[in-house]
Amino acid sequence: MQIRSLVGGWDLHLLAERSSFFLLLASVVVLLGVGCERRQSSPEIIITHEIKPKPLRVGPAEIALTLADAGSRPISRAHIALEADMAHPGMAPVFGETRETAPGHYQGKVSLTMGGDWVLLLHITLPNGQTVERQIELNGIEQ
Amino acid sequence: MSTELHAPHLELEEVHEFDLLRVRGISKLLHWRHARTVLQIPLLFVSLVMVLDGLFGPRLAPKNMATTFTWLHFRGLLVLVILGAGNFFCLACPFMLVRNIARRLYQPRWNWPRKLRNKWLSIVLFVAVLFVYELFHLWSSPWWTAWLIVGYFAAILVVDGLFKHASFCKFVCPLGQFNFAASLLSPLEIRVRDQAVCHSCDTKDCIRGRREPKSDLVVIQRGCELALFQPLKAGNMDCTFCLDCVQACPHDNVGIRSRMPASELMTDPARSGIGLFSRRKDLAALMIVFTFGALVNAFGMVSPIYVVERWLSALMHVTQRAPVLGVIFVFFLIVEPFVLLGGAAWMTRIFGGSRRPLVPTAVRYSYALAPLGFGMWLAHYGFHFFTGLLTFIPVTQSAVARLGRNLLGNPLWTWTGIPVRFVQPIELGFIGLGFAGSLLLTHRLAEDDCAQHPMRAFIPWAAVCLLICLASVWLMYQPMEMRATFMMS
Repeated sequence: MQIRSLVGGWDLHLLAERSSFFLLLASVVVLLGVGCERRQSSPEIIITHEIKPKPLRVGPAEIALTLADAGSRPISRAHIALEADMAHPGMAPVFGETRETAPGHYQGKVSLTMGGDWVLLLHITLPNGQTVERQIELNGIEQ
Repeated sequence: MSTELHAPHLELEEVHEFDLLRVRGISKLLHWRHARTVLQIPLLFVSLVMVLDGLFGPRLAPKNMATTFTWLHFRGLLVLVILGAGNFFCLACPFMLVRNIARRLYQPRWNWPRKLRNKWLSIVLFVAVLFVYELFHLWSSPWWTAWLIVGYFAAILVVDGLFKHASFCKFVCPLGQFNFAASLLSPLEIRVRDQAVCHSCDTKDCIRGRREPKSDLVVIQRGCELALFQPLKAGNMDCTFCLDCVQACPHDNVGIRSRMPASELMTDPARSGIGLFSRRKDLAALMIVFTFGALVNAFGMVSPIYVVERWLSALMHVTQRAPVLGVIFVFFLIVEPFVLLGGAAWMTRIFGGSRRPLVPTAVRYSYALAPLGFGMWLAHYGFHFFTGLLTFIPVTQSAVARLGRNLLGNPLWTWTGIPVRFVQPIELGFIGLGFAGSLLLTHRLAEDDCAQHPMRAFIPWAAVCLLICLASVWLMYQPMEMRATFMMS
């Protein structure tokens, strides 16, 4: 007769038999978590921004950007397209364009259509054709 | 010895019923042994793609399949399919496919603990999901949405790896409980066609499963894993539409049949695998969480919550969101139902002359709130679904483009969905429909409960329904302000 150890109604032998499966399951979960840690590449350009009005409210937002290379030299003749998305999926994004007002200085406008958290995406095309994406969080837009 | 079988649902007149399993083509498909698997495979594939995109794709929620598909399309389709047909998402549940594969490798030996054979654990998990959704703003995080899906797969493998039958579905799955509660309002139900056939059936394969003729121990087709014995089953509670009973019945006597939505809430028969609704406090609590949870979930999306949160954080002298949100949840899910339902039950006894004690009265009538709750879920999830209907196109285009081939063209990010001005009347319609359903049910219960003064018993519950309805409409017209940040000032 096979003797099984029961603790609190739990069959420990059975648990041991199946532990390999649950160990495998746990390993997959842990590896998935470790394996997909996010890393962001270091920026090759320096972007500074100023957004008005402060605090930001629903309506037009003026965006002033400066672009410089790693040596702090202004980057002229870049094309910067603006896209603002809500943090929640399913909301219509808004778009805008910028124009260069001085070497390395760009200005544009987007119209924020509702309150909440927005993310401003900068789709940048550098003079050499290289494309760069950056995002700026616009949290807590007031109604 | 033959068992007397009394169909609990025969009190309602049934004429010219539609039966989905009599529709040519559909019938053949759903009677096929692998029908469920075929329906599950596409959803499993989509789930895996969502997990991968959530973990490795864009971090911005509107650009990611995990968040877009989960919080817009899946939730919206789920409630609309339940409203229009039945609990077909449980039928096609991809988690169960993985579980079934795992069960080919090993078989669980334990029965689910007797003390947990109720809905309390799943109610706690349901509330926990709502709480975590608000606290960690799951809608804005592809990463955490992907982990939620992975966690679900892991949970079902652990629970159903240890415990027999469909323990996860019946006693644990919060999403399943949502579906069970919502499907009380569905127009379709899995039900026997002819009670006389069941009466003369000796094998009871619908519950026992079909056995190998030479060996009674070998099951070649499962019976109901949720302990719903077809002849005594009434309504959709606990039914996952898995079709095991349909495929096990040797007499082809189980159909997917039409009925009046919510009709099962008008009567209180002893239901197979469930018992009497009027004695199930856990099920009544599920209805309360289902109804008031709909309000909390919508409240978390509109501007006034930030005013309330700021006020509470100042009052409590805390800067973390969790305790503030905890107070809001306790108020909405415990204090408010306690006051409203307790007050209405008390008035039903005092003015209506009901002989039921206070708590059973509140339990009995709480089921009547389900239509209102479902109306609010429909309005909320329907809003996101309709206004973001087309977003699956650019999100999919973008995902394909990230694989290195722009096969579907440039993402059409301006494609969103139906304008809000057209969706709002639909929302109002859902809430109005729920309100009408709840009024009808409470009136019917009042007639049964207080035959002499039904209106006196009805009015307090009608007032509760009206309050919930007005709160739902008020919420619907609040400006949305979906913040993932806790603003202290």
